[in-house]
Amino acid sequence: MEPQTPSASSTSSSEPGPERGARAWVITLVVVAAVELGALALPTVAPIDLGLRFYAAGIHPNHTQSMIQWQTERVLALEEPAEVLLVGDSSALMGLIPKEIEQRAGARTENLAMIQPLGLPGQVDMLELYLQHHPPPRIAVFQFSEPNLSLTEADLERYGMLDGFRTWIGRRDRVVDLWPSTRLRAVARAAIGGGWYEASRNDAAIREFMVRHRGYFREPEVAVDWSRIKAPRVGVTPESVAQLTRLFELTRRHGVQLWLRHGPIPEVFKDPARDALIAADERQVRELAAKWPNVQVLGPWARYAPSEYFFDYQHLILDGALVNSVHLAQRLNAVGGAPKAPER
Amino acid sequence: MSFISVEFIIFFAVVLGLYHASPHRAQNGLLTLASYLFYGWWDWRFLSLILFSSTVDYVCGRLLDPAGGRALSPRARLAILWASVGTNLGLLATFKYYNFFIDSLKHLLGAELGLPWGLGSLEIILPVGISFYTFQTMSYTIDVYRGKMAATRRVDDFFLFVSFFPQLVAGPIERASRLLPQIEAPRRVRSEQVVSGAQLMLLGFAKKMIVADNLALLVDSIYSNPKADLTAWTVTLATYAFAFQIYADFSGYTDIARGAARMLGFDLCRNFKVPYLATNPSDFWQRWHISLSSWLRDYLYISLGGNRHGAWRTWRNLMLTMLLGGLWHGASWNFVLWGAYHGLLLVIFHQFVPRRQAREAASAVRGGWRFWLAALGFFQLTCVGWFLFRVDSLSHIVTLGEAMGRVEWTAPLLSSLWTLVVFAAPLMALDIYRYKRDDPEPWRQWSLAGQVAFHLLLFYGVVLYGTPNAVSFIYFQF
Repeated sequence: MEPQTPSASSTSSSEPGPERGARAWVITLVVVAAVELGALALPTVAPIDLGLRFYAAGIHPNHTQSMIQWQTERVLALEEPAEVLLVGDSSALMGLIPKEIEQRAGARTENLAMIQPLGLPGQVDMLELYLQHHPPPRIAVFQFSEPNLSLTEADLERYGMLDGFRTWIGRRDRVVDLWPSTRLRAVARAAIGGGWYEASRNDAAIREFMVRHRGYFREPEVAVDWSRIKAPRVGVTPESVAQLTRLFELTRRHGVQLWLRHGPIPEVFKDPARDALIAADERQVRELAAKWPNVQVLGPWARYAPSEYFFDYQHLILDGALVNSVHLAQRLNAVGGAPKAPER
Repeated sequence: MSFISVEFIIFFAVVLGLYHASPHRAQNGLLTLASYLFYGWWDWRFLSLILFSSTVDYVCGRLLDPAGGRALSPRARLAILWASVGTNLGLLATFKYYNFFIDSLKHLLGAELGLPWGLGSLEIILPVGISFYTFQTMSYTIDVYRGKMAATRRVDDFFLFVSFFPQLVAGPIERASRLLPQIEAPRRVRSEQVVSGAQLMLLGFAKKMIVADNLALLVDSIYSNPKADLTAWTVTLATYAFAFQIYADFSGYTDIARGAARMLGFDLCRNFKVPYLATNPSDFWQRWHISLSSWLRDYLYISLGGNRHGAWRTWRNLMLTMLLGGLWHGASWNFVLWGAYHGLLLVIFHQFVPRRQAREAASAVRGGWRFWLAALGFFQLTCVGWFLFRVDSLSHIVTLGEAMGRVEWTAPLLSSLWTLVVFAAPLMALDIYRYKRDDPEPWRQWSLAGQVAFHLLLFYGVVLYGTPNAVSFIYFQF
């Protein structure tokens, strides 16, 4: 091995044009200021360029990235608006089958639930995105499980998906994105081929499945080793309270009736101590929801279901999802059959 | 605190302002405080490790210094040296390698041989930058022991030497003989240093946020995505992408570190010299992570005997040095394998290329098709090493190795290739230009318009093409 001793400074002793360098910085600052002032005239929320993917061009997206991509694109491309909208976390994505509900309740149903790495902020963003592009549904059912309510900002930062998602859908709130010129990001990326995209096999398969099943995603049926699955933490974080408030206000503003529904829990996790904690969550959410007349919390909150219906703590396999969907359809029928679409 | 954060920009602006308004001694105090704040931002509890390591090495340095008037026996001096080295290696062993060795032994004895094993793993996290500052501070006591430098008297200066924030968490690993004199003497910061330091920082941000983070998406989509379509093409492409990602990531960090230090009047050593234009393994290690490779050469390879005791001993020393160099990067067998691979390349190179010929080749004018062919050829060997470096485990090598047997063209290969070209080509073009000009910062000679264009290109590159998600520097984990 013959590594070199660190060399002497790379800084030239002759100081080539220090004044020129300083002037170059001053001019740079002036130009940047002018460009940023000009960029203020651009629209704040740019429409999503569907040619530009949520993930970078040329990558093999993982399951999560594919789901975010195609669920969003599907929602924007919907031709027929939904009467019943299913929203929430992955317990809804894998646990509510729109076609099954539609068949039993007689109301056009779409699932636009998202996955946990986007947290409540991303899931509410999806509903907001839908409402920006389509007439409001009669009922929105927001289904979730405990992990979703107990997420903190730090958790979402660790997942590292929310920022990218929000940038993509044009909902930016990071300090670094305060540069007005970031509004040109989609155009700039498209210019170097950001929109040139070939779908990978898995990505294409996920897209096809989600389109065919109106946003439902099926979990594989595998033998679950329950001893390896830990029960997630329980508790409603202040961040979740803020997002639930945003969700309630958003639906009120659009005249949407909102049903909050806790997803089923595997029986194997039945435990009195844990039930007490979950009941405390329920009380807190009910108290919060009581202030909004359009919001209804469906009971029972903690519904236990046979463990063989599950892939893990919160994700149902097909049999479980069917039972869960039938249960919801019965509730929809109980409140007067097929809800009528609101007048536009 | 990460360089890639709004907090750092505010922190650095405040420190820079206060620094330039302070006299020399106050500047050193300010920088020490700022450095502890910078490091404590991650986890203030780990400040105790730096304080402990600094205190031990300061005391050992003072005891070892013959100028201190103490006439110690050689045995006592050696014991003091080992107290310092042992403390630093002990910190590394506990926080970085304990779980690795325990888990490996547990696997070997328990799973493979069926023997009982009582020791469990520790619930500890790796303190950021521990490998860097322990090596830096160890070099100080070794140099004082060897009589190559005098121990510093001022404890505050020594604490600043260990914790200097621009290079604290990912180097360059500075020698005390270079950095301490800069700390001890009053500094006069010239405007040219501020201007060129800012340019270097901007280049570092661009390398990291445009090149490294965008290529990271491509690399992770293959290496960290078990459901990706793995074929020979995808793995090869992702490995090439990783070669440029790690270079942009690490050299970007170094540029920011050197730029920030320069704006404060310090001159940190170069860590990279166009490494992908290396034509052989010996050449590569004079261009890649220079501060570590020179550290390993001076304190390990030469201490083992270097090349003074015949071919076999030389080869053994090369292999040992590179194995430990690999292990320095992380407590994982793939790093050991990466080190062994580079050790083997060096042994083969020394075996087949006589020293005189190697020296002549190194000093010859580098150009012409033979040079470019050699550089391109050695880059392929470097990438084989990066494959070993990037995998998560030995079993991952097998999984990806199996994929290498599937020569199947699957989407999205063309767009992956385009992504690689778009982000890697400007980096290599800049390196080739620097190499041709024989100037590490040629833009300083450019015209006013050229420099403004350079600034705007980098700035708007970051704003428009920087990835929305912050990706941590790769070398932070080491």
